[in-house]
Amino acid sequence: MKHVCANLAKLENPPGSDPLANKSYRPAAAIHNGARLAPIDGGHCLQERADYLDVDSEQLYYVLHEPAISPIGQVLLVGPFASERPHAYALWVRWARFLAAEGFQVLRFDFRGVGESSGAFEKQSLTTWMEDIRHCSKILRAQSNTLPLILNGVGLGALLCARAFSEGLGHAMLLWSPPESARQLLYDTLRLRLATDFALLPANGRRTRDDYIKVMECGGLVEVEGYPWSERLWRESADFPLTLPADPRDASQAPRPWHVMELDQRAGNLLPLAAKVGVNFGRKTRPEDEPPSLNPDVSYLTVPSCAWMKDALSKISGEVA
Amino acid sequence: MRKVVNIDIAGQRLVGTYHLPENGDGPSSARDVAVLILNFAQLPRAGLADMSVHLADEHAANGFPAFRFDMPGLGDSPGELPRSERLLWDFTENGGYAQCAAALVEQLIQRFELRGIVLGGLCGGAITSLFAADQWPAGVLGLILLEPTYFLVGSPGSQMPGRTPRKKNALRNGKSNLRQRLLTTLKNNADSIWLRPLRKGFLSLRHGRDRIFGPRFPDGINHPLVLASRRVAARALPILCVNAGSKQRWLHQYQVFGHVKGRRITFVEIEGTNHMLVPGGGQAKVVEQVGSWLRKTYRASHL
Repeated sequence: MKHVCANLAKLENPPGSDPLANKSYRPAAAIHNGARLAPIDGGHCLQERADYLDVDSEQLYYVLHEPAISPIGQVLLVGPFASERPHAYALWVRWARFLAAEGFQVLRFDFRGVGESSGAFEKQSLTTWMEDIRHCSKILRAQSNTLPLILNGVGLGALLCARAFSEGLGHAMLLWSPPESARQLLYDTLRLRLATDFALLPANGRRTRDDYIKVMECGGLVEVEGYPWSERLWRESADFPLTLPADPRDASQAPRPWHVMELDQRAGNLLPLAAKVGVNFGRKTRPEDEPPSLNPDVSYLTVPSCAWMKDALSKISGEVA
Repeated sequence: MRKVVNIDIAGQRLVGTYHLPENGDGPSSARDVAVLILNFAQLPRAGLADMSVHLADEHAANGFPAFRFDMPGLGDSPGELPRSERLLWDFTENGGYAQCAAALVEQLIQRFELRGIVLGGLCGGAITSLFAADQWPAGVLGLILLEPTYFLVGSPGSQMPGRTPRKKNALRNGKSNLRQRLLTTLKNNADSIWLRPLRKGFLSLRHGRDRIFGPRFPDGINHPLVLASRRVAARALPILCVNAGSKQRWLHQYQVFGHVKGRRITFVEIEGTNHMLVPGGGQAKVVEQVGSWLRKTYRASHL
């Protein structure tokens, strides 16, 4: 079995300049060496604990990443929209491991109806996902309620984080590429359905985006990237703009610091799908075209993000205590 | 009901999800046969649009224990992950995860006291399943192959051993283009009454030629995978092969498995979707077809 990792490592030597690459796999290496390996039953391990939380007859999946040292703060990671999750997952996990290696206690989770969490997607909405954030913050606070809590989200997760932060959750907030509103995100993501139709359906069988919106407004379901969008999801998105706190934005002055960072192409699969739809799907792939990078160097994003978090911690730790 | 399960194999931790079988209305005898779904290439164990989750839920509802696991470096399982998808595909196409999958099958059988496991997955998951069932057959009672990819994507251009690359000249290119146009016309007009006899005739000719001279594979085929598939099929292992569209089904049904005697393969073709089997209602059809095949193949044999 060890040959799997060894062989994969042989395939490529990750450049040493990427701190994420250097640190995210170190916990894994520690686990391999057996130094901190807990009994395997029950999904428990000292570094990472994956488990389910029962919420309203559904199961909410979460993974708690523990630092090797005494934690300096807590980070609640709120992931992207359902259709972006599988592509962003590898980088999201690396980011969580990186933060844990930097001394943060990190919790990431899947929204109900998405990924490992149970529940039918069509029965979920922005309201239920906001509840999920609150439930997960309780799990994190149950570990320690004296540590400062930082919210960090990407895409839809950033939007939900901003709403939760405005309701008083967390001591600091870092947003990665939040959309202007949930409606705008859904509207952009609908383009993926149009692209699929273009590839699979004859010209006379294709619909416009407005057609699909009408279907949802009339109570029907519209499948986008395999997820059935419901009327409730579409309706709630209208009342979900990005709500940022009033100034000041500077971490040194704000009682609850917050910051927004925009991702670019270097973020690879962390970049929301809607931002990538501009590519020409009809263009033939040339032999020299490399497929999208699975595991890109995102240190341009993670290093300043982590530095901002630590800076924010130093400002707010006194207040929390 | 789901549980997180961690399996430790030679110091490597694999994270997975166990879907507990529901009592439902069926007999409980199916419980000694579990289903294990592997990663769809580089995607986490939930798969694209959570297809693996829906498959596992369906199996659990039918009384089969179902597992989904992340291979090392993928999803929640710790391990190395290459920078490029192409490197990972190359690793998968060469059976890089097969030994790990086989060890996982063995561990699951021991821990959950199972009679055996039906192994499966989409694309890379199907490739790993085939290699694992070929090299470490103990415990594998069947295969669910969703869009198994016999063309090398990670390192294209590889040739079958013993076959020289085709010369590229104007005549051959012209013939190739003509044949491609003919195939496309036949494929796109499968419902046309006028072209139906032509289509049937062409397929019969091609099938006959393959029977006499052996199947001819296009360039860039994964030859070790073809051989592994034939060895597995020759063991009369129950196999479900789900394809999107007729072109892939043709390759699998006639060229890969066509000459294997005693095979127990069910071919299912799902129209209106793509390789990921998700859009166009593909996911629901796959879940239904796989559930139906499992019930028919394993539950009936226990009654």
